[in-house]
This record gives sequence, C-alpha cells and structure tokens, in this order.
Amino acid sequence: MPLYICTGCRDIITSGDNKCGRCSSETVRADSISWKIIGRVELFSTPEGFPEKYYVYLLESGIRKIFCFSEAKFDDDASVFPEFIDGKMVCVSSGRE
Amino acid sequence: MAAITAANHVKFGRLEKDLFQLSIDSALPITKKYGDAIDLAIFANAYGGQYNGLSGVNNRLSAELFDVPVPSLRIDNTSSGGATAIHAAKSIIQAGDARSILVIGSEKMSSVPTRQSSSIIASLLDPYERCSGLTLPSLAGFLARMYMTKYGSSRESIAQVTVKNHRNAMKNENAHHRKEISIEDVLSSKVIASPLTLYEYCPISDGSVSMLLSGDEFAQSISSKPVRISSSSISSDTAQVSLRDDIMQLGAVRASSSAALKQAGISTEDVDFAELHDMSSILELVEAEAVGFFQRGTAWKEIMEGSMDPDGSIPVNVSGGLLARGHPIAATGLAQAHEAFVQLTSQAGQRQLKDPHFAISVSMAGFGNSATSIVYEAI
Repeated sequence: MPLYICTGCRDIITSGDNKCGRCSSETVRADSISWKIIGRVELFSTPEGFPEKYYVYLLESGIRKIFCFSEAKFDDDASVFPEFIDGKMVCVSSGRE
Repeated sequence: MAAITAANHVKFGRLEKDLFQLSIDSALPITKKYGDAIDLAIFANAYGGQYNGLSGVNNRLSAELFDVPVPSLRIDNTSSGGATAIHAAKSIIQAGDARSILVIGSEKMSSVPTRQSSSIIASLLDPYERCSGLTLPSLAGFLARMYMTKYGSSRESIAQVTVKNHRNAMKNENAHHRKEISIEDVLSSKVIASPLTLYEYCPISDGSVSMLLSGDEFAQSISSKPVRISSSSISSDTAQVSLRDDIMQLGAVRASSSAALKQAGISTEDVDFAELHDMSSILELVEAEAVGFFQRGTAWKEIMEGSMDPDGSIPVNVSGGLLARGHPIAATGLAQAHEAFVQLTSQAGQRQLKDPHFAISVSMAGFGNSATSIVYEAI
C-alpha cells in the first residue's frame, strides 16, 4: 500500500487520497520524497507480531520525520522510503523491482 | 494545600499475589488506622484489563478496605498514573470536596510472557509508529545514540546511571533488585535496543504503594510528620514522537517541572533531591537536564563526577529509581512520592539524606507523551 504524507499538517495518509482529510492540503507519495536516514536502532527484545530481531529507522525528509521497520540493514541514505506492507510501516529500497 | 499524612510501600518484584491482593496489602495498614477520616479512594492502574483481565477494581477495593465503602475512581495515565492520581487528589482536597483521600497505585505485570508485556506497553504509542515496530525501549536506544553523537558522551557515563541506582537500591528494602553491579556488568549484558543493554532498562515488576493525602486542617491531627505537596503540574506532548521538533528534548518534562517549581516558589537550587523517571539509563540524564539541574549535554559528565550520588550536589533516585526499585507502571509515581515522604520525615533508614527540605519527582507517561511533576516540602 503506498503511503502519502500531507504537506500541510504532515499527517500520514493511507487512503491514497490526494487531499488530506484533516486539513485539505495536498498529499504526496512517500516514494516521491527524498528520505535521509538519521537514526537506526537494532532491537533484540520485540513485541508480538514482529520478528525477534529487527531494525527501526528514523528517516527525515523536507516535510517530516518518520519511523519505519526493516529486517535489513541499510546504509545508503537516499535509497529508502517508508511504505505499508502487511500492516507494517516498512523501509523499502528505491531500487526494489 | 494538601499533605501526605501516611504511606505504605509493598516490596516490588515478581510477586505471587494478584493485583487486588497487592493493593489490599499496601492500603489496609492505612485504612485500618485512618479509615473514618477518608472521603474518597483513587486507584491508579494502567493495564489491569490487559495484564490481569480485571476491571472495576477500585469499587471492589473500596468495599474490601472500608467498613462503609467510600466513593472511588480509577485513574490511568500509563506510567505516570500514580503521580497523576496524587495531582488529582491534591486538587480535590484543595477544592474542599474531601478531607482526606486514599491514593493507591498498583500493577501486576509478571503474569504474562515478556513479548506480550512489550505489546501491552507499546499499545500507548501512536498507531503509525507502532506499525514501524517502535517500542519504548527502542526510543531510548535512539535517544542514547543521539545524545552520544551530539554531546560526545561516553558509553560508560550512560551505564553509570544503572550502576548508581543499583547501588542506591541496596539500601532500599522495597526495591526489586538489590544487587550491586559494575559498568562492565552493564555493558556486557544482553543488548535490548542498541546501544542499550538489559540492565539499562527497568525490570518487569509487580507492586503497590498507598498513601493518604489530607487537607492542611486535618493533616496535623492525623500525623505529627506530614509532608506538604507544595505543587504539582501535568504537561502533555504529542504522542507521535517523530513529529516532535527535537526528539532529544522531553518537552513535557521541562514544562511540568518548570511549572511545579514556579508554583512552589522555588528554583532547582532549592531542591535537595529528585526522583526521576529512569525507565532507561539515558532518560535519567536527559531528564536531569530538562528539569534544569544541569546544562543541556552535561549530565553525562556530572554523573561521572558523582553529582547525582546521595552525597552529590543533587541526589537523584536515592530509592534506586525505576531501574532497580522497579517500575510497576501506575505504582511508580506513588513510589517516588513515598521516597519523598520517608526522606522528608527522616524515616529513610540507611539511605537517609542529611536534613532535606524540598524534593521533586518527575513521572513520565510514554516517551514524554505526558509528565507529572510534584514538589514536596518538609513541614
């Protein structure tokens, strides 16, 4: 599921609408924004519904910061963006087919 | 004004008794003695539904604790529920709606596996951030990394918070963990959320603390050594941590502590000791800066110099804090107040500080989603 970000209130939108339901500002697709990795934590004690080990990334764009999940370790700042997959907000490489 | 006139602390730990019985154990010594003077009971509990499958516990407690049940209510503000209950009780007494109020804070957490417990606690997070796998321990990991990068703090200085608080808990008979540990022990324990390790997070604890709050006109007739609640303040911040301008700043802690100190008419220099919300080691350092005890980015140097030790310039978490005393969620704010009560009435035994007059406690909900600060004064 593509993820949209409101350019006004910075809300996260999953409906695919190009207008924010809360403030009516325009939304943009997360994969059209340049995201920079500004933090990463590796978790070894995890909640139910998640693997027993994974990473949480903190990404930053010109609009907002966002946390996202991945089982992979990324180092290339510009090549990831967040997307909803199986109910999780996942970091996805832009090189993904 | 309102004052603490009696307090009772059940030893924290992984306990056999259930939520109801733990609460009875902490409250009964107070109601047996002062039951006739109590007009209201406030029960602080966050997760009785999720952990224990219970609801309506406040009414059952009132029926069990009093000959004639008094009105009761439950307060949930996650980890700061106990402190929030004190704030509410103080406000009700000041409004003249009660002479004395029994405040009970209890949590029974050890009844479920650790992963289920992590899920229960994570339910307080913003739903989108929970979908990213974010947990409170992982936020502390982010904070530690950012703090080390921005201020050049050593890894050892963060671990020293755990070492200090475990040492303090050796003198607290109510603490969950009473075992001295070294920096090497901390750094070599299992990584939970990099770079922080097992010893740098509070344990999963069961426990209960109860106290009696009374109006000024009744306090002296109940206790010869009451402790005044000089002020209390609650502040909130967005629960969506990624929307905060600076994730390293605990805005709610700064705002609530600043307001509480101002209402009490004192500054940080007047405070003789503090109980801070060290859910993780790094949080004690960042909160000590947010309250204003130290300049931003310097608490890591201060802890290595002993400034937060019991004989330092500002003793922090003499009780052992959440890291060693334990953190049965809604009981914690009351455990902090209990420490203020015993210290300010010279009943703290081996860990008694020398002639303290003012204390502050800071209790945090979530990752600074809310914070409740309380200033205490010896009368």
